[in-house]
Amino acid sequence: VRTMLIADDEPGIRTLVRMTLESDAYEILEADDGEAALAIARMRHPDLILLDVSMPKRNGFEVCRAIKADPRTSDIAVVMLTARAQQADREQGAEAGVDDYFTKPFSPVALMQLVEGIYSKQRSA
Amino acid sequence: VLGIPIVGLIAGTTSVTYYQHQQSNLQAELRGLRDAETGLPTILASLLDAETGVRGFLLTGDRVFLTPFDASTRALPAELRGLTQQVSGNPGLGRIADAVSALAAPRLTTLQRLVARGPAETPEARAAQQELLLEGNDQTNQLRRLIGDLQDEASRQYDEGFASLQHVRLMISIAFVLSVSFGLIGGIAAAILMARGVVRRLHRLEGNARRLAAGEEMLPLPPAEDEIGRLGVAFEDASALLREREALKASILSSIAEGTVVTDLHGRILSINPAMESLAGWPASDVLGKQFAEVYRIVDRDGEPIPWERTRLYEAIASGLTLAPEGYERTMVAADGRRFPFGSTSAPLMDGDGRVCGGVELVRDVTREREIDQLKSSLISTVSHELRTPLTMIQGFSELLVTRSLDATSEKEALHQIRQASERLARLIDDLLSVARIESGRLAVRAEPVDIGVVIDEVVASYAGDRAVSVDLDGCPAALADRDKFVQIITNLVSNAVKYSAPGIPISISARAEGSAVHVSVSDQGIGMDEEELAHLFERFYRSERSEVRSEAGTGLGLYITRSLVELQGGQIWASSTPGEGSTFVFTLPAANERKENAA
Repeated sequence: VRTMLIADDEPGIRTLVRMTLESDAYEILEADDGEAALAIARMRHPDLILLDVSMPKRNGFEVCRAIKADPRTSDIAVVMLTARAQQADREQGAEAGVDDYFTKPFSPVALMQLVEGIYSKQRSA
Repeated sequence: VLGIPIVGLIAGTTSVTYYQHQQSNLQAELRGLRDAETGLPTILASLLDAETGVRGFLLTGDRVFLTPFDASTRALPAELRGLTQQVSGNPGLGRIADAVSALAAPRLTTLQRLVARGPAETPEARAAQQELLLEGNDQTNQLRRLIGDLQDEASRQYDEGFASLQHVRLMISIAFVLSVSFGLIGGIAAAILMARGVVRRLHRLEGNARRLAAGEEMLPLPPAEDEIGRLGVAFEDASALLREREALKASILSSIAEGTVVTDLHGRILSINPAMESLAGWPASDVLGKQFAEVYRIVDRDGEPIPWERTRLYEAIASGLTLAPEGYERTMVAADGRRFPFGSTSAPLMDGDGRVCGGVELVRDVTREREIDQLKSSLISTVSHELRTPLTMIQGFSELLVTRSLDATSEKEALHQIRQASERLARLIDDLLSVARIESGRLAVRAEPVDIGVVIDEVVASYAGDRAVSVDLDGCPAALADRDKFVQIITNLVSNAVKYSAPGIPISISARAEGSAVHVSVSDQGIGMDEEELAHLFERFYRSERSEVRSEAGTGLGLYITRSLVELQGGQIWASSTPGEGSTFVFTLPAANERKENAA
C-alpha cells in the first residue's frame, strides 16, 4: 500500500484528490496547514506529498524546503498542487526542490497519471 | 562750471584794456616830452640868431643883419606859446617853461630896444649899448641854463615815462598770460568737471546695464534731459518689461503642479518651481547652480544610484527628444532621506535657433499610482487565485462524474461540491462587483428612515438558520440609512457570526441610541480573533491563516465591503474579540429623528 499526503487548506480540494486517487492501492493522509503537513511527513513518511502553496502557518514552498533538507524525509516525492501558475512561482518551486509542479484547475485523470508515473519511477529505482 | 573760464577771460581782458589805456596815455605824454625837448633848442637858436643879428646891425648899421632878428621876433611868440601848450598839465616842465617864457620875452624886448636905438655914436650910448648887451648875455646864459634844465627835466620825465611804459607793457603781457592761463585752466577744469559728471553717470548707466543683464534690480538714476538721461529711461523701460515677463514666467512655473527643474546643457540647475521644492524638500536657494544628479539622487528598482549619464534628462538633452514618463520603478531621494517613486517627463530646452540649450524635467510623485498599480497586480493575482479554487472543484468533480462510475454517496458529494463551488464563484463575483462600485465611487446612497427591528428580523429569518438569536432593540429609533445596504451590512455580520461559532450557540443583536447615532452590535460566542487578526480585519482580501477560518468559504472581501458600506452612510465600524470566547462587531449609523429635527 502506497502512502500519500494531500496538504491543502481547502477541504473541497482534499475531497477532490481523495475521490480521484482513493483505491485499495493508496492510503491517503490529509493536512490543512503547512505545519501539520510537515509533522505528518516526518511521522508517517509518505511516498508522495501533494502540496498547496497558500496554506496557513507555513506555505508549501517552506514545507518542501524543510522536507528536502531533512535526510529522513528528503526521499519523499513532492508535487506542488497550486493555483499559483506564474513563472516566478514555478522557479520558486524549483529552488525549493519540488519534483513536479501541477497547477489548479487540474484534470483528475492527469493527476492520476502523474501520481502513477511517480510511483512506477520509485518502484524501478 | 563754465563761469570759471569766463570770469578768468573777463578779468584778463579788463586788465589788458586798462593797461593798454595807460600805455597809450604814457605814449602820448612821451611824445609831448620828445616834442618839447626838440622844440627848446629852436627857441634858444631863434634868440641867439636874433641877438647875433642885432650885434651885427649895431656894429655895422646895416639892416641886413636884422633879417634873423625879424624872423625870430615874428616866430618866437608862437614858439613860446607852443612850448607852453606842450607842457601844460606837466607841473615840473610848466614851471621851467614859464621861466623860459619869462626870460625870453624881456630878452626880445631888450633886443628890440637896442634895434630901436640903432648903432651907438656916442661913448655913453656905446656904454649903455654894451650894458644892455651884457645884460642880454646874462639873460641868454640864464635862458640857456633854463632850457638845459627844461631839457634835463623833460629827459628825466621821458626816462621815467619810458620806464612806466615798459612796466605797463610788462603788466599787459602778464595780464594777457594770466588771462589766457585762467581761460585755459578754467576751460580744462570745466571740461574735466563736466567730463567727470558724464563719466560718473555713464558709469552708473553701465552698472545698470550689467544689472539688467544679470537680472538684478537696477539703481535709480537722477532724471536728466540729455542723451544719457534718455538712455537711462530706456534701460528702465527695458527692465520693467523684462521684470514683467520674468514675473509671468515665474508665475507660470510656480503654477505648474508638477515639480519642475530647468537645467543647462551640463545639467546645472537654473531654476526649480515651488512644487519641486516641496516634492524633494530642497529650497531653490540650495540647489541653484548645482548639478541635477548631485541634488536629485535617483535610484533604480534595485536601489542602485543612477548616474547623470543614465538619467532621462541627460538622454533628452543629448537626443533633443522629449521622453514621456514610464513605469514606477525609479525612486528619488528627498532631502530628509525619504524615497518616493516618481514619474518624469524629460524634455530638451531649445533656444531661438532651435538648438538644445538645456533641459526641463517635470517630476511627479507616483506613490499613489504605484500603490494602485501594485494593488491592481495583487488584486489580479488574488482574484485569479480565488477563481481558480472553485473552478478547480467544478472542473475536477465534473470530470470525475463524467469519467468514473462513482457510487451514490460519492456522486452526491461531488455534486454538492460543484454546487458549493458555483455559489462561491457567484459570491466572489458579487463581492468583486461591490468592491469595484465602492472604489469607483459609483455607489449611490439613498438614505431614508429604516426600521432596524424589521430588517434584523428579515435577515435572521434568512441567514440564521436554526440558530437562536436574541434581539434587544430597547426602543431604538429608526436609522437614517440606505435600506438595501443596511440589509447587506447586517447580513454579512450575522453570517460571519454563524460561520465562526459552533452550531447551537446563540447569537445576540442589540441596537440603542447614542447621541445622534444608532449603535448596532452583533455578538457571537465563536472562535474569536487575536490582535493580529483584529488589526487587519477590515482590509481587502484579508483572511486569517487559521484553519478554522480557512475551512470556511470566504473571499476576504465581506468585512471590507461592510466597512465601506457603513462609512458610505456616515457611520463607523469596529470589532472587539477574545480568542476562543467570541467576537462583537459594532457599527453606527445616523439616527433618523435627529435628521428630521435638523430639517425642521
